[in-house]
Amino acid sequence: MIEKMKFISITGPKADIDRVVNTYLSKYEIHLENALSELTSVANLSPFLEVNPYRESLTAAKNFCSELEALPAVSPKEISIEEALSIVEEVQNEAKRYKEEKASLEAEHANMVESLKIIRHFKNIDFDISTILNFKFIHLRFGRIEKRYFQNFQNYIYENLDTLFFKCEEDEEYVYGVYFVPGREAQRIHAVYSSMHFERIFLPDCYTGTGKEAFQQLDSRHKEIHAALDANKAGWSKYLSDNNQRLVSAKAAIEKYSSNFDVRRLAACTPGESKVFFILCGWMSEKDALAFQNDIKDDTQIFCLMGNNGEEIVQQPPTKLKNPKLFKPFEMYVKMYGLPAYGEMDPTWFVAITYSFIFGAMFGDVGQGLLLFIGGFLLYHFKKIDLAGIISCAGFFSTIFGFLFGSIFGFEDVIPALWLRPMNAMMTVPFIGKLNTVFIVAIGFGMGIILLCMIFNIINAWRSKDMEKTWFDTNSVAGLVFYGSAVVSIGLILSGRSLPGTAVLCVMFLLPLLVIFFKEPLTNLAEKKAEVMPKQKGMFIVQGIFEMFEVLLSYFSNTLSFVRIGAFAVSHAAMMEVVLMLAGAESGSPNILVVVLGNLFVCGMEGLIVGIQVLRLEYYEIFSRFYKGTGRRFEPFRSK
Amino acid sequence: MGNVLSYSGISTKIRAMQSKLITEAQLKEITQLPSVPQIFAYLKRTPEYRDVWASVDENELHRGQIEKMLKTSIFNNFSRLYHFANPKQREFLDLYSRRYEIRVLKEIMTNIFDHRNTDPVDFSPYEEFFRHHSKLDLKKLAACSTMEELLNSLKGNEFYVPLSHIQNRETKALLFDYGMTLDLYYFSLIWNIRKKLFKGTDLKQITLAYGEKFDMLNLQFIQRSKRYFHMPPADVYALLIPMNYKLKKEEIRALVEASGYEEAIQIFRNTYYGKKYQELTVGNLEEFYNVILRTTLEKEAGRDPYSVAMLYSYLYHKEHEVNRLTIAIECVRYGISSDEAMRYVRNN
Repeated sequence: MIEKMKFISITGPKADIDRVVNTYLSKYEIHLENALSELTSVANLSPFLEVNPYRESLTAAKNFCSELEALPAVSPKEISIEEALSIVEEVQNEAKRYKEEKASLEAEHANMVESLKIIRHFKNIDFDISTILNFKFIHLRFGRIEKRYFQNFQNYIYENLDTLFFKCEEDEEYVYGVYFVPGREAQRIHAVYSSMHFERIFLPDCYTGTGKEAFQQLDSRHKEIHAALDANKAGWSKYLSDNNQRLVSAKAAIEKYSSNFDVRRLAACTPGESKVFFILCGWMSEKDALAFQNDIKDDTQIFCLMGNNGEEIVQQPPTKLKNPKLFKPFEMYVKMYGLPAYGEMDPTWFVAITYSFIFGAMFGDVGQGLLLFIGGFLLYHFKKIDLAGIISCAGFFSTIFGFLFGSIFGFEDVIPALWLRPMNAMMTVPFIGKLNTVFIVAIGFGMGIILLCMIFNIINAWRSKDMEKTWFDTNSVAGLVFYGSAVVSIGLILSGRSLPGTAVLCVMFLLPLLVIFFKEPLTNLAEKKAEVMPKQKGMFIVQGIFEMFEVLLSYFSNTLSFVRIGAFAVSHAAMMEVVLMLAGAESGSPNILVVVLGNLFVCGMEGLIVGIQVLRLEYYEIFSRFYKGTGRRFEPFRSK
Repeated sequence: MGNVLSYSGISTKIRAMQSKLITEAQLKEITQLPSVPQIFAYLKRTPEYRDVWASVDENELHRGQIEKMLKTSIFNNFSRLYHFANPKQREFLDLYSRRYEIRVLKEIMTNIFDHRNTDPVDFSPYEEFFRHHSKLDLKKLAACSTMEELLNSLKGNEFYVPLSHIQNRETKALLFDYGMTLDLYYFSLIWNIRKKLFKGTDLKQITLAYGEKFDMLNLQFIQRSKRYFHMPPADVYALLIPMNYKLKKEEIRALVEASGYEEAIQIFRNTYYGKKYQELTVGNLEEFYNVILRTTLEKEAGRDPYSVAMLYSYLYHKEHEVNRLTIAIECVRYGISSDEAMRYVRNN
């Protein structure tokens, strides 16, 4: 069923919008539309512009909450908006404090890392660095040489040069050290060093004590800073986790107010200087709309207008499905295909019945059916999984067919078959020979379904006043007559009776085909259009012939498609027979483990395949005949 | 005994491949040919190039393309040996293949430093080879237009560290500095790793082959930098490969500090190489470098056919063949007489 919708517009003084939204719209489900684009006939409406005052707090709260993600989730408590805002402000202040502390530590760290990096290489110098740097008559340079040059330097040059190289440290690539030269020779010797690619490292005069002392001093301060940074981080995350509950509640409260505030985006304002009114419009289910009107009877501020399928409404109303609890899970399949348009037939109940029924026929087993029924029901009940509900319904029918086929966990000899055994029951068909009865029954059932779908299509088309779809189309009255005649004729042949006379046959078969062939000109004629026949006759006839061929073929193949119902009934029995054979049931004492595992395997695999096959039948053979699914969803502003 | 077993297969393979190399007599015939396409046709009939070149039409080829094809043959032969080698031998081949990587890097750098609008370096001869034997991403490297970009794309590669040091220096680095650094990196790698990779005869031969090579190169550096560039001693020292084989420290220092040509000749006469190769003088050092390297390799490979010298020797000879052919083709192109051409060829 599709719930009946009413288009309502609410107006009130501009300043009153928050009160209206918070008191009324939170209570009722309403699908809001953009008032400006909806009320095109009203002139001079302007958009309702106002800056959302909650946005900043909301972003802040969201950021904090995203940092909380590692913690176990807590459910928000109801708090007032003022409290929520003050919580966010408090947390923001705290965050700022931590951030400032961190920034100052990091700045100090960055400063000292530079000097630490330099002194690290020269920590072997066991002499006061400041004193060295202030030598008067001896020149010196700190720096490094690449190792291979150092090798050549030591081998060939060092002995003959008036210099003293003090090696401090070496790593994989470089030798670090300091060299001293007498002042008057300095220039020449500097040149030699630079030939050997000595890279100078400038040592600032900022160290106290020997190289080692200076290094240790800096190093311990460096470690202190790291410890302080860690403490800062830990303190912040502890603060956050302590305020977890409050933050989450604050976020929820602000979110609610913020989105209530955002209703303005969909609202419009009436023109004027002093007395400005807002207009909100949208869809409510009829029941809600009446209750709402009753509710605001005493409210002098606002006024509500209910449209009666008014002509001014441009858009098609949104679709809200309303079905009995038993059918509700099957709405999932319908939504997957597309929601019915408002005014179209809701096929949920039809899907629910046919799906369960066909599934049961394809998967007839008392034991496994009960398992599906109970398992699906429990899952649906506790976890609210729609698919589980569908499985449960399907399992129920599966059990019924299990009794009809006399099969329980694959054992065919425990309970009697109330109807027949799909594997063994045979039937003789003219022209074909011996065939499983279930196949014939499946095709017969399929024919019935197809006829039913055609009738649905005719009803739908009649409602939407579509001439072509009602009378001349493949699934219209013409198609129904043709297909119905075919079904009747086959029935007559099977039951061994003679066919009616040629004249009757002609009316039954040829006439509908001709109608389908000429459906476009006929539609034009019925709708009293000026041009009845298309311009290019040759093209029309060629196209018509091919279409005719396709139509006939698809009647045939769509009918045969239903054989799968019987085929799976047989295959289910056959697969279980294999399981029992593997378990050694013929010897009298079957292996219990193999029986259990085999049952689980068949139940899982075949259940899945059958579930998909039936869905395919629903979508392809059934829905395509009468259902369009072009509706749009009912999205309440605030769901209850 | 172990060596005989592990090298017997590849040694036979090498012998077969070596027999296909172009001989000196053939080179003479080549220099007598009148035009480049005819050389190509000649080479197409030799067993070394017959199969690979069969489908190529010589009349449409340019000299540069032939050179490229010759280069490709070096890589192909290397790959064939690599396929055939066992894991131990592959370690040597992997070490050796760095030489090709360095050659390509140098080509790219030359292109970067060359400020004329030259065509980008063509890597087609190497592409296949580099996919299997190298971690260098040629496409990415070839797209670089400055040294900074090149260094960036080399990040993570072994060549990155030595090259990046040059960037730190105060003076602006030249192409020579980068090339030299790559060579020095490669040489020190071989010298430092050789004791880990090889044992027994193999170690001895690698030490001998590369030791002599490094000594000769050092001699060449000293001679060039003093004679042609008049560099101060400290700069010369910076260029030397920091390995000594038969040249003593004192000898090198004396050579570098020598005040004149005569003095240097006297010092050189007393070194190991001066004594060993009487005909070697400071003057013909350049040409002699090839001769010494070749004879050393040939001798070692002949004396010990079941050792790594065999591999090294073959790879050397193949490259040598291509060098000589390239010279021969150039000579024919510029119409130099056969005798003179052969002199250039033999000097190489």
